[in-house]
Amino acid sequence: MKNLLKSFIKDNRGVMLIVLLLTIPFIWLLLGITLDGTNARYAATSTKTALNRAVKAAVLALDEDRLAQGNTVLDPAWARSNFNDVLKINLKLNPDFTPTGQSPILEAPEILDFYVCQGPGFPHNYNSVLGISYTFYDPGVLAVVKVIHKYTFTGREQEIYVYSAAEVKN
Amino acid sequence: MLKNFCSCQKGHILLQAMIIMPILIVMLFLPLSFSVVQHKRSVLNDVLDKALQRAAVEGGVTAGVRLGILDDLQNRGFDPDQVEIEPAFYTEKLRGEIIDITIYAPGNAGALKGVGAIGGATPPDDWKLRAAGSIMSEKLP
Repeated sequence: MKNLLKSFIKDNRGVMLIVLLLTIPFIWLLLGITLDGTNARYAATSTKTALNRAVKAAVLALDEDRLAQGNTVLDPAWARSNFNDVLKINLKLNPDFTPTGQSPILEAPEILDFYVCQGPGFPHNYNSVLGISYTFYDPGVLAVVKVIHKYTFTGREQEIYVYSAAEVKN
Repeated sequence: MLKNFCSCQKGHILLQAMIIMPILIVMLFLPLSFSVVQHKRSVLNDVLDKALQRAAVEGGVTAGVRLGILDDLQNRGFDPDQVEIEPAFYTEKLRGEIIDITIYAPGNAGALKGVGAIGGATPPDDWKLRAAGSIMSEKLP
Protein backbone atom coordinates (compact mmCIF):
# COMPACT_ATOMS: atom_id res chain seq x y z
CA MET A 1 0.00 0.00 0.00
CA LYS A 2 2.81 2.38 0.97
CA ASN A 3 4.70 1.51 -2.20
CA LEU A 4 1.60 2.10 -4.31
CA LEU A 5 1.05 5.57 -2.81
CA LYS A 6 4.73 6.39 -3.26
CA SER A 7 4.69 5.40 -6.91
CA PHE A 8 1.44 7.35 -7.45
CA ILE A 9 3.01 10.53 -6.06
CA LYS A 10 6.25 10.04 -7.98
CA ASP A 11 4.50 9.28 -11.28
CA ASN A 12 4.12 12.53 -13.26
CA ARG A 13 2.09 11.12 -16.12
CA GLY A 14 -1.28 12.79 -16.66
CA VAL A 15 -0.47 15.90 -14.61
CA MET A 16 -1.54 18.26 -17.38
CA LEU A 17 -4.78 16.34 -17.84
CA ILE A 18 -5.61 16.85 -14.16
CA VAL A 19 -4.70 20.54 -14.40
CA LEU A 20 -6.96 20.87 -17.45
CA LEU A 21 -9.84 19.08 -15.75
CA LEU A 22 -9.54 21.47 -12.79
CA THR A 23 -9.25 24.55 -15.00
CA ILE A 24 -12.07 23.89 -17.50
CA PRO A 25 -14.99 24.41 -15.05
CA PHE A 26 -13.56 27.76 -13.93
CA ILE A 27 -13.04 28.95 -17.48
CA TRP A 28 -16.57 27.88 -18.46
CA LEU A 29 -17.92 29.63 -15.38
CA LEU A 30 -16.13 32.85 -16.35
CA LEU A 31 -17.31 32.49 -19.94
CA GLY A 32 -20.91 31.96 -18.85
CA ILE A 33 -20.89 34.92 -16.48
CA THR A 34 -19.36 37.15 -19.19
CA LEU A 35 -21.96 36.12 -21.78
CA ASP A 36 -24.85 36.52 -19.36
CA GLY A 37 -23.66 39.94 -18.20
CA THR A 38 -23.19 41.15 -21.76
CA ASN A 39 -26.66 39.94 -22.77
CA ALA A 40 -28.27 41.68 -19.76
CA ARG A 41 -26.47 44.92 -20.59
CA TYR A 42 -27.49 44.64 -24.24
CA ALA A 43 -31.15 44.13 -23.23
CA ALA A 44 -31.05 47.15 -20.91
CA THR A 45 -29.35 49.39 -23.48
CA SER A 46 -31.72 48.34 -26.27
CA THR A 47 -34.74 49.00 -24.06
CA LYS A 48 -33.43 52.43 -23.06
CA THR A 49 -32.72 53.41 -26.69
CA ALA A 50 -36.15 52.21 -27.82
CA LEU A 51 -37.79 54.06 -24.95
CA ASN A 52 -35.97 57.30 -25.80
CA ARG A 53 -37.26 57.11 -29.37
CA ALA A 54 -40.77 56.20 -28.19
CA VAL A 55 -41.16 59.16 -25.79
CA LYS A 56 -39.78 61.45 -28.48
CA ALA A 57 -42.52 60.19 -30.82
CA ALA A 58 -45.09 60.67 -28.05
CA VAL A 59 -44.36 64.39 -27.67
CA LEU A 60 -45.01 64.89 -31.38
CA ALA A 61 -48.71 64.35 -30.65
CA LEU A 62 -49.49 68.05 -30.35
CA ASP A 63 -53.04 69.32 -30.56
CA GLU A 64 -52.75 71.37 -33.79
CA ASP A 65 -55.81 73.55 -33.11
CA ARG A 66 -54.59 74.55 -29.66
CA LEU A 67 -51.10 75.06 -31.06
CA ALA A 68 -52.53 77.54 -33.59
CA GLN A 69 -53.89 79.49 -30.61
CA GLY A 70 -50.42 79.54 -29.06
CA ASN A 71 -50.98 76.74 -26.53
CA THR A 72 -48.72 73.70 -26.44
CA VAL A 73 -51.08 70.88 -25.49
CA LEU A 74 -50.43 67.17 -25.98
CA ASP A 75 -53.16 64.74 -27.00
CA PRO A 76 -52.67 61.86 -24.47
CA ALA A 77 -54.36 59.15 -26.58
CA TRP A 78 -52.40 60.08 -29.69
CA ALA A 79 -49.19 60.35 -27.66
CA ARG A 80 -49.73 56.84 -26.30
CA SER A 81 -50.42 55.50 -29.77
CA ASN A 82 -47.18 57.04 -31.13
CA PHE A 83 -45.29 55.72 -28.11
CA ASN A 84 -46.60 52.16 -28.59
CA ASP A 85 -45.87 52.17 -32.33
CA VAL A 86 -42.25 53.30 -32.01
CA LEU A 87 -41.54 51.08 -28.99
CA LYS A 88 -42.88 48.03 -30.84
CA ILE A 89 -40.80 48.73 -33.95
CA ASN A 90 -37.54 49.32 -32.07
CA LEU A 91 -37.88 46.45 -29.62
CA LYS A 92 -39.19 44.18 -32.41
CA LEU A 93 -42.42 43.33 -30.61
CA ASN A 94 -45.60 41.75 -31.91
CA PRO A 95 -48.86 43.80 -31.87
CA ASP A 96 -49.65 42.32 -28.43
CA PHE A 97 -46.22 43.44 -27.12
CA THR A 98 -44.79 39.91 -26.98
CA PRO A 99 -41.22 39.82 -28.33
CA THR A 100 -40.47 38.39 -31.77
CA GLY A 101 -37.49 36.15 -32.45
CA GLN A 102 -35.23 39.12 -33.26
CA SER A 103 -36.11 41.08 -30.12
CA PRO A 104 -33.32 41.86 -27.65
CA ILE A 105 -35.72 41.10 -24.79
CA LEU A 106 -37.21 37.73 -23.91
CA GLU A 107 -40.51 38.74 -22.31
CA ALA A 108 -43.11 41.40 -23.02
CA PRO A 109 -42.11 44.75 -21.49
CA GLU A 110 -44.38 46.10 -18.77
CA ILE A 111 -45.21 49.79 -19.13
CA LEU A 112 -45.42 50.82 -15.48
CA ASP A 113 -46.20 54.47 -16.10
CA PHE A 114 -46.99 56.68 -19.05
CA TYR A 115 -47.26 60.19 -17.71
CA VAL A 116 -48.31 63.09 -19.92
CA CYS A 117 -47.42 66.38 -18.26
CA GLN A 118 -49.58 69.27 -19.47
CA GLY A 119 -49.03 71.68 -16.61
CA PRO A 120 -50.37 74.20 -15.64
CA GLY A 121 -47.51 75.66 -13.78
CA PHE A 122 -43.95 74.84 -14.63
CA PRO A 123 -41.56 73.57 -13.35
CA HIS A 124 -43.63 70.52 -12.51
CA ASN A 125 -42.21 67.70 -10.41
CA TYR A 126 -42.90 64.06 -11.20
CA ASN A 127 -42.31 61.55 -8.42
CA SER A 128 -43.09 57.85 -8.67
CA VAL A 129 -43.30 55.05 -6.15
CA LEU A 130 -40.24 53.52 -7.83
CA GLY A 131 -38.17 56.44 -6.61
CA ILE A 132 -37.96 58.13 -9.98
CA SER A 133 -38.15 61.90 -9.84
CA TYR A 134 -38.10 64.26 -12.79
CA THR A 135 -38.76 67.97 -13.24
CA PHE A 136 -40.72 69.09 -16.29
CA TYR A 137 -39.99 72.61 -17.46
CA ASP A 138 -42.33 72.31 -20.46
CA PRO A 139 -45.17 69.98 -21.53
CA GLY A 140 -43.83 66.48 -22.03
CA VAL A 141 -44.08 62.74 -21.55
CA LEU A 142 -42.34 60.37 -19.14
CA ALA A 143 -42.54 56.60 -19.41
CA VAL A 144 -41.30 53.86 -17.09
CA VAL A 145 -40.82 50.36 -18.43
CA LYS A 146 -39.94 47.12 -16.68
CA VAL A 147 -38.19 44.34 -18.55
CA ILE A 148 -37.43 40.93 -17.11
CA HIS A 149 -34.12 39.49 -18.21
CA LYS A 150 -33.46 35.78 -17.77
CA TYR A 151 -29.84 34.76 -17.35
CA THR A 152 -29.24 31.70 -19.49
CA PHE A 153 -26.22 30.40 -17.57
CA THR A 154 -27.38 30.83 -13.99
CA GLY A 155 -31.13 30.75 -14.75
CA ARG A 156 -31.59 33.82 -12.55
CA GLU A 157 -34.21 36.48 -13.41
CA GLN A 158 -33.46 40.17 -13.15
CA GLU A 159 -35.90 43.03 -13.33
CA ILE A 160 -34.58 45.95 -15.35
CA TYR A 161 -36.31 49.31 -14.86
CA VAL A 162 -35.81 51.97 -17.50
CA TYR A 163 -37.33 55.43 -17.75
CA SER A 164 -37.18 58.20 -20.29
CA ALA A 165 -38.70 61.66 -20.68
CA ALA A 166 -39.11 64.16 -23.50
CA GLU A 167 -40.45 67.71 -23.50
CA VAL A 168 -41.72 70.20 -26.07
CA LYS A 169 -39.99 73.54 -25.76
CA ASN A 170 -42.49 76.38 -25.67
CA MET B 1 13.87 1.46 -29.33
CA LEU B 2 10.07 1.62 -29.30
CA LYS B 3 10.07 0.11 -25.83
CA ASN B 4 12.52 2.78 -24.70
CA PHE B 5 10.41 5.53 -26.27
CA CYS B 6 7.26 4.33 -24.51
CA SER B 7 8.80 3.90 -21.12
CA CYS B 8 10.83 7.14 -21.21
CA GLN B 9 9.05 9.94 -19.33
CA LYS B 10 11.34 12.79 -20.35
CA GLY B 11 9.44 15.62 -22.00
CA HIS B 12 5.99 14.15 -21.45
CA ILE B 13 4.83 17.29 -19.62
CA LEU B 14 5.93 19.35 -22.60
CA LEU B 15 4.04 17.01 -24.92
CA GLN B 16 0.88 17.21 -22.82
CA ALA B 17 1.22 20.96 -22.59
CA MET B 18 1.46 21.16 -26.38
CA ILE B 19 -1.78 19.22 -26.70
CA ILE B 20 -3.64 21.13 -24.00
CA MET B 21 -2.43 24.70 -24.64
CA PRO B 22 -4.44 25.21 -27.86
CA ILE B 23 -7.60 24.16 -26.01
CA LEU B 24 -6.84 26.54 -23.14
CA ILE B 25 -6.03 29.41 -25.51
CA VAL B 26 -9.30 28.92 -27.40
CA MET B 27 -11.23 28.91 -24.14
CA LEU B 28 -9.48 32.06 -22.92
CA PHE B 29 -9.73 34.03 -26.14
CA LEU B 30 -13.28 33.06 -27.10
CA PRO B 31 -14.85 35.42 -24.50
CA LEU B 32 -12.41 38.11 -25.61
CA SER B 33 -13.50 37.70 -29.26
CA PHE B 34 -17.10 37.88 -28.11
CA SER B 35 -16.40 41.11 -26.21
CA VAL B 36 -14.79 42.67 -29.28
CA VAL B 37 -17.88 41.85 -31.36
CA GLN B 38 -20.14 43.30 -28.67
CA HIS B 39 -18.06 46.48 -28.56
CA LYS B 40 -18.33 46.89 -32.33
CA ARG B 41 -22.08 46.29 -32.15
CA SER B 42 -22.34 48.93 -29.43
CA VAL B 43 -20.34 51.46 -31.52
CA LEU B 44 -22.60 50.76 -34.49
CA ASN B 45 -25.72 51.31 -32.38
CA ASP B 46 -24.32 54.64 -31.06
CA VAL B 47 -23.71 55.85 -34.60
CA LEU B 48 -27.16 54.67 -35.64
CA ASP B 49 -28.81 56.52 -32.74
CA LYS B 50 -27.09 59.76 -33.66
CA ALA B 51 -28.05 59.30 -37.32
CA LEU B 52 -31.69 58.62 -36.44
CA GLN B 53 -31.94 61.83 -34.42
CA ARG B 54 -30.55 63.82 -37.32
CA ALA B 55 -32.79 62.00 -39.81
CA ALA B 56 -35.86 62.82 -37.67
CA VAL B 57 -35.11 66.53 -38.00
CA GLU B 58 -34.16 66.38 -41.69
CA GLY B 59 -37.09 64.12 -42.59
CA GLY B 60 -35.16 61.11 -43.86
CA VAL B 61 -31.77 59.75 -44.78
CA THR B 62 -30.35 62.81 -46.53
CA ALA B 63 -26.84 63.04 -48.00
CA GLY B 64 -25.80 64.80 -44.78
CA VAL B 65 -27.10 61.96 -42.62
CA ARG B 66 -25.34 59.40 -44.82
CA LEU B 67 -22.05 61.32 -44.71
CA GLY B 68 -22.37 61.69 -40.94
CA ILE B 69 -22.74 57.92 -40.52
CA LEU B 70 -19.71 57.20 -42.71
CA ASP B 71 -17.57 59.84 -40.95
CA ASP B 72 -18.51 58.58 -37.50
CA LEU B 73 -17.78 54.98 -38.43
CA GLN B 74 -14.44 55.90 -40.00
CA ASN B 75 -13.44 57.79 -36.85
CA ARG B 76 -14.25 54.70 -34.83
CA GLY B 77 -12.20 52.23 -36.81
CA PHE B 78 -14.54 50.98 -39.54
CA ASP B 79 -13.74 51.04 -43.23
CA PRO B 80 -16.38 53.36 -44.78
CA ASP B 81 -16.00 51.67 -48.19
CA GLN B 82 -17.41 48.49 -46.73
CA VAL B 83 -20.34 50.14 -44.97
CA GLU B 84 -23.83 49.84 -46.44
CA ILE B 85 -26.70 52.10 -45.43
CA GLU B 86 -30.37 51.43 -46.08
CA PRO B 87 -32.40 53.11 -47.47
CA ALA B 88 -29.99 53.90 -50.28
CA PHE B 89 -32.02 56.91 -51.48
CA TYR B 90 -33.61 59.87 -49.72
CA THR B 91 -37.38 59.73 -49.41
CA GLU B 92 -38.94 62.64 -47.58
CA LYS B 93 -40.87 61.61 -44.49
CA LEU B 94 -43.02 64.24 -42.82
CA ARG B 95 -43.97 64.67 -39.17
CA GLY B 96 -45.53 61.50 -37.78
CA GLU B 97 -44.10 59.15 -40.40
CA ILE B 98 -41.60 56.46 -39.43
CA ILE B 99 -37.99 56.64 -40.66
CA ASP B 100 -36.07 53.35 -40.71
CA ILE B 101 -32.29 53.13 -40.97
CA THR B 102 -30.20 49.96 -41.24
CA ILE B 103 -26.40 50.00 -41.20
CA TYR B 104 -24.25 47.05 -42.26
CA ALA B 105 -20.59 47.31 -41.27
CA PRO B 106 -17.73 44.80 -41.51
CA GLY B 107 -17.59 42.67 -38.39
CA ASN B 108 -14.35 40.91 -39.12
CA ALA B 109 -11.79 43.67 -38.80
CA GLY B 110 -8.81 44.78 -36.73
CA ALA B 111 -8.61 43.29 -33.27
CA LEU B 112 -11.32 40.73 -33.90
CA LYS B 113 -9.39 39.19 -36.75
CA GLY B 114 -6.23 38.83 -34.63
CA VAL B 115 -8.03 37.52 -31.56
CA GLY B 116 -10.19 35.25 -33.67
CA ALA B 117 -7.12 33.82 -35.37
CA ILE B 118 -5.50 33.01 -32.01
CA GLY B 119 -8.72 31.53 -30.70
CA GLY B 120 -9.35 29.63 -33.92
CA ALA B 121 -12.72 31.31 -34.39
CA THR B 122 -12.09 33.76 -37.23
CA PRO B 123 -15.41 34.62 -38.87
CA PRO B 124 -15.60 34.88 -42.69
CA ASP B 125 -14.22 38.03 -44.34
CA ASP B 126 -17.61 39.17 -45.65
CA TRP B 127 -19.32 38.82 -42.28
CA LYS B 128 -21.19 42.03 -41.43
CA LEU B 129 -22.65 43.49 -38.28
CA ARG B 130 -26.13 44.95 -38.57
CA ALA B 131 -27.76 47.77 -36.63
CA ALA B 132 -31.34 48.82 -37.34
CA GLY B 133 -33.63 51.38 -35.76
CA SER B 134 -36.68 53.53 -36.37
CA ILE B 135 -37.72 57.01 -35.35
CA MET B 136 -40.68 59.28 -35.97
CA SER B 137 -40.03 62.18 -38.33
CA GLU B 138 -40.26 65.70 -36.89
CA LYS B 139 -40.09 67.51 -40.23
CA LEU B 140 -42.94 69.91 -40.87
CA PRO B 141 -44.45 70.13 -44.37
